[in-house]
Amino acid sequence: MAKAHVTTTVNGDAVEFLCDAEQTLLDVLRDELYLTGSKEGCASGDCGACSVIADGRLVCACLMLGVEAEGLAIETIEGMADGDQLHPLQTKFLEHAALQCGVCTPGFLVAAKSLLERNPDPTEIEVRYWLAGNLCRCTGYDKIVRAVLDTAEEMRGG
Amino acid sequence: MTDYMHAFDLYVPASLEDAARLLDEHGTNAWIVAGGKDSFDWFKDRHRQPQAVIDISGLEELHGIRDHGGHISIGAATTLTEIEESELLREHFPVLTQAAAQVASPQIRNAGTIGGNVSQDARCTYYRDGFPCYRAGGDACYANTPTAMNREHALFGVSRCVAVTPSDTAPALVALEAEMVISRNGVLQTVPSEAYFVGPDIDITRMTVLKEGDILVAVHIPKTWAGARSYFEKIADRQTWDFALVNIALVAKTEGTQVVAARIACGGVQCTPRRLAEVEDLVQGETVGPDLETLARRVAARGAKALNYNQFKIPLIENLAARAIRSLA
Amino acid sequence: MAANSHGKTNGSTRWVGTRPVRPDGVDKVTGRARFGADVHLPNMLVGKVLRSPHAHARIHSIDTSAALALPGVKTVVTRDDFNDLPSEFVPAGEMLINYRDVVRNVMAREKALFEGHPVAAVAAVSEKVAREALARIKVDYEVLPHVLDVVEAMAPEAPLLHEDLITAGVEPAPTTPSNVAKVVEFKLGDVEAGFAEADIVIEREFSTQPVHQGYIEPHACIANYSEDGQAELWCTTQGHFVVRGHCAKLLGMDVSKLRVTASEIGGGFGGKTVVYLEPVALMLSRKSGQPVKMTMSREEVFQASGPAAGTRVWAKVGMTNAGRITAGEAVLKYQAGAFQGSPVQPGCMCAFAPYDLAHVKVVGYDVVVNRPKVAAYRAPGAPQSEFAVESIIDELAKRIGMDPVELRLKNAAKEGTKAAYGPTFGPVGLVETLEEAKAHDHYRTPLKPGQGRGVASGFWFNIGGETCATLNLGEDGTIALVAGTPDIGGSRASLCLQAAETLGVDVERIRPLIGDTSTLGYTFLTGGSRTAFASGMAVIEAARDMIRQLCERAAKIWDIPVDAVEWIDGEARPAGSNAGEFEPLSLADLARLAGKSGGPFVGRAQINAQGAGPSFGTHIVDVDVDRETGRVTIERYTVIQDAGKAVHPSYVEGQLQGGAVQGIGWALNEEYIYDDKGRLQNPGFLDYRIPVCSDVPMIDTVIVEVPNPTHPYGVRGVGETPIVPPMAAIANAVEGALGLRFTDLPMSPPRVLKALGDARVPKAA
Repeated sequence: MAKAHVTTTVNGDAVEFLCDAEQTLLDVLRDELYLTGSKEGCASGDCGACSVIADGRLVCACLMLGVEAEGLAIETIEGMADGDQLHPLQTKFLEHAALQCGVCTPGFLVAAKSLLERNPDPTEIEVRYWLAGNLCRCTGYDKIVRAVLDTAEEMRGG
Repeated sequence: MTDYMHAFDLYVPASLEDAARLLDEHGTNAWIVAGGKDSFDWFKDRHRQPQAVIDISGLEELHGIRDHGGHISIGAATTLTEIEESELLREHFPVLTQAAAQVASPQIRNAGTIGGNVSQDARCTYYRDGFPCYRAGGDACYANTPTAMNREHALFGVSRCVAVTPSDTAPALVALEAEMVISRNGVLQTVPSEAYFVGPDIDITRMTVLKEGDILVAVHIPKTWAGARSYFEKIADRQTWDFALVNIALVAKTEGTQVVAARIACGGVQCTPRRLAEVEDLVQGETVGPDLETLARRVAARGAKALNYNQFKIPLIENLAARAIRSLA
Repeated sequence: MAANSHGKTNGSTRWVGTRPVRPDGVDKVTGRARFGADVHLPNMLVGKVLRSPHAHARIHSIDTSAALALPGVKTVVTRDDFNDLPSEFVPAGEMLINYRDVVRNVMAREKALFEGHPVAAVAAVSEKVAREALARIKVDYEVLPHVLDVVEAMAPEAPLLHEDLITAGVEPAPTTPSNVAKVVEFKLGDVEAGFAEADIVIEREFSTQPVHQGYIEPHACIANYSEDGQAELWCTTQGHFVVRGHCAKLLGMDVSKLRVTASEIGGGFGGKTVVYLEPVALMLSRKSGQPVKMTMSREEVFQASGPAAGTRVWAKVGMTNAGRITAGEAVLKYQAGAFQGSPVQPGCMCAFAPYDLAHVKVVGYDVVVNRPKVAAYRAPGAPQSEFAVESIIDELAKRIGMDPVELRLKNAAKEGTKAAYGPTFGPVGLVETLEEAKAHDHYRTPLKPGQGRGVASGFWFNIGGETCATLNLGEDGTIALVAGTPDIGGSRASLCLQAAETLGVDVERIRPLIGDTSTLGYTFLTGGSRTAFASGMAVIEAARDMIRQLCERAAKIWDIPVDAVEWIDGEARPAGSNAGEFEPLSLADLARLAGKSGGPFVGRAQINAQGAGPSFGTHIVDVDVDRETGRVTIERYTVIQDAGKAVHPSYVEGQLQGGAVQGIGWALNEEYIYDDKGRLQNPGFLDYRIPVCSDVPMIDTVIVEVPNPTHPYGVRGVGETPIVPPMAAIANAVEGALGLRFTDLPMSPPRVLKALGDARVPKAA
């Protein structure tokens, strides 16, 4: 079958690309659109490093086909900051040193953003269970959870 | 290498009829995907390489949670997150919303569907790894040998294959007496959830009654157990994310501390969700308390035959049955 | 010159010990940071590896013709492309590797020695074509019996991995080959006499499973070999100079012709100190004349990159009724994987290191098995042996009813203690961590019913080594800091702080980068907890070099002797009134005047850092064990560790927290599951279960600072020690909760339920 022509929106920009049916959205983002902020840690939906938001839903780009992006609004880490203004989560991750190697960080930020959009006042337990689909091997999660809780408080105007 | 899939053709039918036609056209080369969580796993392992992949996730008639008076219907392509967050379901059938909430991670629940969760294939690592086992059409079981790793395998209902149902929502649906609506040859058929799941004695190559060309369309849950007491617990290696070692779903009607009626089903102990019928019979009309828990514990695993490494599931199922009863106090 | 012109501090620091935002931070939160797989080159090919499906097989032939015939396939590489190398041991992290084995690990020669062992590789125009090509390569294997277990591998009838492997370290040398590569022994005093002094002797056998480092970024690289014999290599590694050395050796290149750039690295923990894909990518690029990119899938990472050694450890400890430990003895059997070189030696050295003992004997066996060759993993070798000893110490404390922290304090190693492995400790902080533990709110808070509390201490040497650094002063007074140790967890921040402290300038004015192998002199890898210490020393030395130049320049401008100039708070000042009256010249002033006054300023250092201070830690953990489900829940966790001086405390805390949580995974869930054909059944993050966010609580930390006298600010490495205590601390806590001692890891729900069942049976009988 010929490559599919896909029209979608990535971080607010209209984007068109060609891809094979079996190409995942992650492959398309990284290899066709050169948006390499989404990482491949496992390619099986287990590590969350490729987390993106598709029409408001947090998903693993490695378990979604590129063609499924047709007509959707895709948000990736590259679109999280607003111009030169970091998203509050990005700022808090830096302030709390909530990253070491940083390879899981884009996925965590996207997942945390999705959490706060749904639940602006999560408990520590809610943060931990929501982020359970994102693996971090460096930090032991402590500072990540603190950064998310602190961001939530700040965004609530606390 | 589990990081890529084979080349396939993707079809996106516009209607159920369209989907049925495509399935018919491609026969054994066809594969249905909705959320794709189990499918892409198979494809990436490359032990399944269907040529025609039919994405039914966009079909309107497979979506939505609706109250029909006597029952609530859930479209098969409804995501687990939608189920988890449904006020309607939480009010009527919290055992199902709790079960849905314990599947994997938010990312998976946001894309994974109820249809996929109840129709997913066995997780036996030997089977998944492409061993020519009975379930894969071969003539051996690699999990039930003196040296095999089989801590995740079956205690009951073994018939050559020792794989178990990995689903969290399946025991909840069985407990709730749900019915599965299947499109077969263009006709909708209804199958009780207990009959939907099939063991190796009936068909060793399938986990459900779905055959080539069939599409699971919806799940109907009668209001028989609406508002009943309920309990769901999943025990896995980690607090979350993993497939269940054993899970348990209970619904019960009680008067005070007396059990009027109860239905209990477990996952992870045989190929299909296992009704704990003896426990159900035992508790009916009885008063909840330590004595009843002890009795429940005594019968919960009756008939279990442990393999080399899954002995632990016997106390686990016994203890979970006791905890479920305890929750009614 | 005044003392502070060397950047020395009088105990108080302005930058060291603060918590600025890391200089690479914004790139990492925006997705801009480029990791190993994030780079594309024009005309790039994709390289893929064909791996052995067998755990042990002789390779009779490899036919690549059908693969080469496939359109789009540019070249194929097999064992025939690499020259065999003679036996030569070279350092790799804290371990040694042998080039004879490296060439075989990179590409199987006579035999495939583990499932996933590379057998061939292709470069093709796309991943799709490369994969198809792999399927067309025909390998004629003769499958051989395999062995996975360390004890079985030591048996005389075990299948031999290497028919020429003669055990080293045994006198007289054996005449027949075996799977035991080496026997090592460390002795202090006379253990028999020590045990004779004891009132209580406990001996136990322990086992630990191999565990993977579990870095989230798989191995990845791009090689670009030019027709003139020069090459560039971009890769994710803990040490690009080490990669350069290994690759040049394997490809027969001059090191100067190979320029290696370390990408941002997505975790390593010791696992990215060796080469896997890099020499293959270079060979594919050399043969094809095009750039070649290679990445491992997660499955390949698990099948073919280094885990920590699985072990069997027997240990025996004697003690008087008063709580004085009289002797310790242990026998360590460590899996090396397919090639020799397990960390059994450091395992032996660390086993009893936390204690001041007169009589110690530790014997270690390095044993090859049909598994991937082990690689360093955070304090390689120590967690396994210290798990055994710290478990027995706990049991001894219970036996005499003494608080386990008190028992450790009574026997703790301190300054002047002669360690069983040789050296006499300088200032070390074990006693301080134990005192902190005793005083900590955590240790004094009563447990809830069903819970248990465990403590354990841990030790790691830490290393220094060859290190270079450069500081380039820009014309506006800002500084480019060039270091050679890849930044794996925030070390650029730590190096900038040390440079800022020494120079007396705002840390914001220093921008760090990790230089490639052509921009700096040889710099050993990021490992051994050496980066903040050794690259820190180099940066301080480079800053002092620059200060000397700046003072000389000020002296020239003022026309006064150089020793009449001192460097204080980031500016040159006349040293006292005798030197003359001059307005101070700041770093920015001197930078501006550089061209007119004699040229640019570059501070350089090339050192071989000595005197890394060992780091001790003590962990406290509370667990809740659900007897009905076997689930062990970590309720509370506190890490107390000596950092010497915490340069950036947030990242020190991060090391302590991260190490503890890796230890929690090791203790509770992580293990490799092989089928009876020696094939890994759980090569993925679903079934190889590293802790997720909901598995752990907040990890409290207490940083103890007993300065390391050899470092100007007192820094000790901190990265590795925190993975040493968790396994014993958790096992001790589980024992406290259940009354059952686990000597085998992991303590997963199935195993806990089984142990509870086993414990019940004899009682009922």
